[in-house]
Amino acid sequence: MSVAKRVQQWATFGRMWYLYDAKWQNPLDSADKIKHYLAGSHKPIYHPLSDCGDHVVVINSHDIALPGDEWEKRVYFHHTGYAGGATWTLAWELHKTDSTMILRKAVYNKLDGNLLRRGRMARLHIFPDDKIPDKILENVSAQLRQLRLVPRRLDHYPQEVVHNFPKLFDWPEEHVIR
Amino acid sequence: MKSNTELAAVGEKIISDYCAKYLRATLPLLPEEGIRALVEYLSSEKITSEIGFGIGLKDLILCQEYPPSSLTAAKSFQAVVGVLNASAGLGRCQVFVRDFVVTQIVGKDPSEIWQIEQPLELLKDILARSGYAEPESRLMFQSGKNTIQAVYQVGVYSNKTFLGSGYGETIETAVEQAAHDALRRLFHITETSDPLPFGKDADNIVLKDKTNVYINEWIINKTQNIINC
Repeated sequence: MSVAKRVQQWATFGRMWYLYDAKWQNPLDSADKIKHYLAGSHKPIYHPLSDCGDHVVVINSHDIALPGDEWEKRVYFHHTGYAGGATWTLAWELHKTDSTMILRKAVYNKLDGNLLRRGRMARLHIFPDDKIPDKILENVSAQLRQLRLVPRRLDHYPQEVVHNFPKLFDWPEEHVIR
Repeated sequence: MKSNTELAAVGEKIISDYCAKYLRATLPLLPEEGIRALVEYLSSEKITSEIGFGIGLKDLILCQEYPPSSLTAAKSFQAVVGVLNASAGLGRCQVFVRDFVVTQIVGKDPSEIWQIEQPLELLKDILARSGYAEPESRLMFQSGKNTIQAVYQVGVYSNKTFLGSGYGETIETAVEQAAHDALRRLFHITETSDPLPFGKDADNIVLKDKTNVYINEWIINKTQNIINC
């Protein structure tokens, strides 16, 4: 193989490192997107046996947003295998203990349940905030788009902008809102 | 029974002459060194013997060993070309050479056959001679910098105009490949350049006797019209 063909092969089968910001995102929908990239299904050279999956680095997993009342209602079951070893952990309890677990379990359960799953999970790197080790940050090559638009908080806007924004109506100064 | 060494010599000359003229006409921007390398490849013993065996000379050659050695087959094929010239004339002989010898280069990468050492130096020289700015390489893309499977893509630019890009496991490889790509684009021997004409298309081309520009005189000529009508 000539050098040109060899480097073309190397680039085609090169592993990408994607960054995903999970802030305010639904972890279950994010898992659907992430599993696609971990498997390598987004590539035209995809084959389950060709080990073409990419790395995904997830940040801000502490700020994920489960829909509705799932924080109170979603329960994670675990059994140690011994008698009396069944535990039912609510989502908020699990998130308090380890804030990467919900996203990790979501991706694990969305991946196909075959022997490739462990290898694909090994290429998923989840961090609770945006502090990533430098060695991993240097590897990152692209970013995945967020699923849900993150609105800007009112108290994060500068005060002049809020004050000068045109209003149709405001309560009179003496009015007491009850 | 006479030996056919004279016919083989004539045939060899016809093959290398015609290949050179055809390639100079169809690849006008390729430097003369490239043309010579391609002609040497086409006239090499390996290719000529392959063609010879392909047209059935294995069963026709009379020699001591069986099967005939590749050198014997190569010389026999050259003799066939020589005898075709003697019997049917140079025109028909050249059509035969075009259909059997030149077609061996179809699908092959000319830059694989003609290896350029020091592509970045060559690119620098060409750009300096053509009045362009010095080539500047920039990192276009990288992935997995701290892993063993690092991928780098480097682009070569001259005064912010894109010349070529290359991939590599290390940045040095990528820079070299980018220079190679830039040269391929200048000489019009990329994978996407026009295919060589054969058959009816080739009957109308004007064979070029004059040598192509040598590499140490090659300049980028923007106004050159290379469409052969």
